[in-house]
Amino acid sequence: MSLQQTVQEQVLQRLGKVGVEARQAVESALVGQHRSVHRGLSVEFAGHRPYQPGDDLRRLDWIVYARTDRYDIRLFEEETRLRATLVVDASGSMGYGSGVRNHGVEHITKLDYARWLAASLGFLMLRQSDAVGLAICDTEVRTHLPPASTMGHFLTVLDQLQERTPGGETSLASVLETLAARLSRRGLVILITDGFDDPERLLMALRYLRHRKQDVRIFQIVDPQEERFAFPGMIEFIGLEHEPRLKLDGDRVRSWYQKALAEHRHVLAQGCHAINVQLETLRTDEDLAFALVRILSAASGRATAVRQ
Amino acid sequence: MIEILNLALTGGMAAAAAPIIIHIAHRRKLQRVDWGAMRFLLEMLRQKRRSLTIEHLLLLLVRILALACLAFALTRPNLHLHGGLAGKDVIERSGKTAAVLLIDDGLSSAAGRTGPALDKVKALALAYLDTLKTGDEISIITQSRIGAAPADPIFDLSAARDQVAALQPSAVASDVPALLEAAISQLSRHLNPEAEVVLCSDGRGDGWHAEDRVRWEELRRRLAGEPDAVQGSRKRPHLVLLAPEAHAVDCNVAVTGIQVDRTLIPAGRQISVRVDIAHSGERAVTGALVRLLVNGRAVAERALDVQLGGKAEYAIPYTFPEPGSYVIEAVIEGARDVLALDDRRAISVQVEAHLPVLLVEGRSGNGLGGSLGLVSAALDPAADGKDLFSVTRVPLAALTDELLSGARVVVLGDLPALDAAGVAALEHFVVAGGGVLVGLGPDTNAELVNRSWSRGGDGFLPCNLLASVQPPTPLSPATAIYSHPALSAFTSKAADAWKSAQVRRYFHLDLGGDKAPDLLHVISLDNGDPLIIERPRGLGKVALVATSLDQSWCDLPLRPAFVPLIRGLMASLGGVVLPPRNLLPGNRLAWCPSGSVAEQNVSAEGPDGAAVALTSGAWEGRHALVSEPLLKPGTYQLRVGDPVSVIRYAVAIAPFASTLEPLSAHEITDALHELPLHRIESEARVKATFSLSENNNVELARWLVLACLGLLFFETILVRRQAAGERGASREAGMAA
Repeated sequence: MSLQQTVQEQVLQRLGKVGVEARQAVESALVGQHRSVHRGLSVEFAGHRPYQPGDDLRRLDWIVYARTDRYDIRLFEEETRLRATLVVDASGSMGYGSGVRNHGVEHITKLDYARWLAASLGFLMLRQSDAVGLAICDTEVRTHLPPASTMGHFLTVLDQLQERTPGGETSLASVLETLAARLSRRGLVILITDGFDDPERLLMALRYLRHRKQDVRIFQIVDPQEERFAFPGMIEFIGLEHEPRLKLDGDRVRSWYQKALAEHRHVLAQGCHAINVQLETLRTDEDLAFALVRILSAASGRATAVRQ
Repeated sequence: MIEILNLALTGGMAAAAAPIIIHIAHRRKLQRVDWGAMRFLLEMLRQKRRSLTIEHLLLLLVRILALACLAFALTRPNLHLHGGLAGKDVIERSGKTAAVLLIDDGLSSAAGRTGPALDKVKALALAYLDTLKTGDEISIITQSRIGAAPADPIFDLSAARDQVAALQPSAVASDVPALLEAAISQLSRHLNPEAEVVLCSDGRGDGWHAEDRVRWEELRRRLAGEPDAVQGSRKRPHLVLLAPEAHAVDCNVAVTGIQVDRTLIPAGRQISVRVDIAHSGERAVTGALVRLLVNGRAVAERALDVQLGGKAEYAIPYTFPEPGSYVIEAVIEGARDVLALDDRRAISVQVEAHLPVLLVEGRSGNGLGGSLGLVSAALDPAADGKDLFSVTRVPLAALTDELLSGARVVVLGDLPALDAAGVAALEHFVVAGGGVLVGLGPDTNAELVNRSWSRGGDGFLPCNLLASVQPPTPLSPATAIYSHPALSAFTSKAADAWKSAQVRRYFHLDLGGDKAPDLLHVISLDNGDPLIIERPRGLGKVALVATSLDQSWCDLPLRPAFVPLIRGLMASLGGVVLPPRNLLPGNRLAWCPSGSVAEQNVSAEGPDGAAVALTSGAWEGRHALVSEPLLKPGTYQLRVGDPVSVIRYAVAIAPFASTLEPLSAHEITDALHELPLHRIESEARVKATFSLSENNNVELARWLVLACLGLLFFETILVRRQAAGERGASREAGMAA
């Protein structure tokens, strides 16, 4: 099953079943925050879209209504062309999977889950005529597709996502710094990663992105085993990013590992909060549709609060 | 130095390797995992590697040490901080004591004017027990119970005192080497580090047997133990002699022997009973009697007339009225000496109606003819079966197992050969206690005899045959062992009786040099070649005549000496009563049941009329009813079957067991040589000799167990500390999350 099929059948269709409110929430969450900055300066008419409950009635095109009895909303260029770049971490550590089954696929890895998430978000944004770009990276940016709002472009995005295999070491900080230099226009950067990098350097890179007028969302993907660390007895851990092998008693080091992991996540979360970067954690055993609803509803709430 | 008391458990030290083995096994079962979040493990290790490694190694070390301590404790190590005090007057005890108390309650311990010497021995033994403390091990071995199954040491001092206090003098002969041998064996059952072998004796020298040099040499070797072992350890125990000073007795008379003048006793014919009396001491005995009792009934008495320190013999005639089992007892009455137990002595005799003899002839004949005609005539002259010897003559072909089973003696006369079954039957017959007399002759095939009868000394024949020789001039019997039962009818003065006989031909016998020490030359020819030899085989005996038992090769059968000689040989070969009925104190009464008597119809009673328990057992490989060791001298009666027939057994003290000579220093030196011995003669010296110091010797077991417990406690603390650290990390992880 291709990535497109998986995302269509397992996520988007089910997302539809979850309810209109959810889809609205998604759209609202992804669009609302980027609306008001250029209003009045660049009001080039871009087209119509059907009215949806919650839309501002002032933007209703009464002429169209008078002619066709349809409620259409007027769209303008600057407002609708959200330029989102999906940054997918494809380092070696993203290739880890503890045997979790999700969406009908056996033994999914974190990268699999990241692909689905990126594709789902891309579809949702493309549906709103937003431009979607892609950057796949490990120690450096391996693939970079600038944002565009055409389906053809998006199919290329999907192809790149599907072809990519995990490998290389994680070096998100340098990757984000490189990427920030390439993103000249305001936009949204969605970073999908496990976040297994030096948090200080990562936060510094995020600050730089924010300084470059980029909104940043981080989706941290973790495998449930990485949280539970349920390894009884002696285990030889073989690093996916060419780290030295470690022979450890799983029972003995579990709590110390969990403590180190929790500290890392705590530092990252605090840092993100300080620079107004939204950080969400998704587990690979979590239903992606529900996870999206959960995450985007929360984002929508925050967006509404910001607007109000 | 450290002494290991439980060497057998040293292998348990390997248990100390268990944690390492578990650790290695654990590591060998490694599960490999591809892992993404290595940075956290590395981070954790960067912070914790040192403490984790130290904790891990510490835990491993503590567990190894705990197990090693426990395993080492089980071996009971004993740390000696000094070199022992051999040869000094004081015995220092520095640890728990393993005491083997040997109490000589033999016959001489009953001697005493005011009371038995055993009372003083017991007082010394009790004084020694008072020097022991709780936790010391004690084994008590008495002379009278030396044959009993060994028991484990006891820790109950009170029970040991009671056991000693309850001892009574017995009639068994003292045997100090046997006691010491038992002590050395018993020490292996002890575990305490300080070993003491304490011999409590009445100070008489009769049981030391210092002349038995071979036995003492072995004993010295075992008592000396390993040269580098510490004096006082179980490998080299302290040897202590608790013996009151013994003095020469003022007067003791003893019946030292009683015997009848023939091996085979017929009914209705007078025999002579010889009674030997010995006197020791400095006071003469006056007004005493020697009384002879048969089955408890006095039949004769003589006034006792024995010189100071001298011996006397009494020959008392007696005629047994009818066949049966009898006990003849000689008793000294009115002696008023220091030892009453040796004033009487009994002997059991069997008065025979007939002795069945089977004659197997190579050349059969009637009357005086045939190979054994003259033998038959000598045994049963009237040939009416009424003589003491009940003779059956058969040719070789008629020899059957039934005939063998009914005979007590078998005579083989000039047999050319025996088939394998016949040889096997004869061997079985001899081993089971029968007697065989073999006569040779012209038909004897030496090669055949050597191959199947003798088999180089393994068969029933006493020795191999060499060639038959015909000396230029006939030879005569010249020398004889007149003390042999077969020659009881002769005296040394009757030597002329042999000289008239002429042996024209005889077989040279291959006597095998020193290989056959039990071979007896009963009669030899004047050239020194043996004429009649005898050798025990199993429970029976075989006599071999090197010439013929007829006139073929010699004229001995025609001489007057032939009749008493043959009858004496028959009595000697067939007069053995088995199982033996003359026993020593400490022996067991044994009776082999015949097929017709149910074991339930057998009972036994002792000299005092008390019942003696009989249990099913074995005697010389045969099923038998066996009693416990009989300690009391006198007559024991076995009632068998219905109607009851009585079998009488006699238990008599060993000859010369009542010498009562004080133990001399040179006897001890002869026996022990340089082996250190602490001799203590009084109770006060007992207490002074055994010091109770505990400073120089450390029994490490308890400390090792304590160390093990301490290490386990420490291990628990370490584990709990680790668990607490992990819980803390979990809590912190939760808070951080």
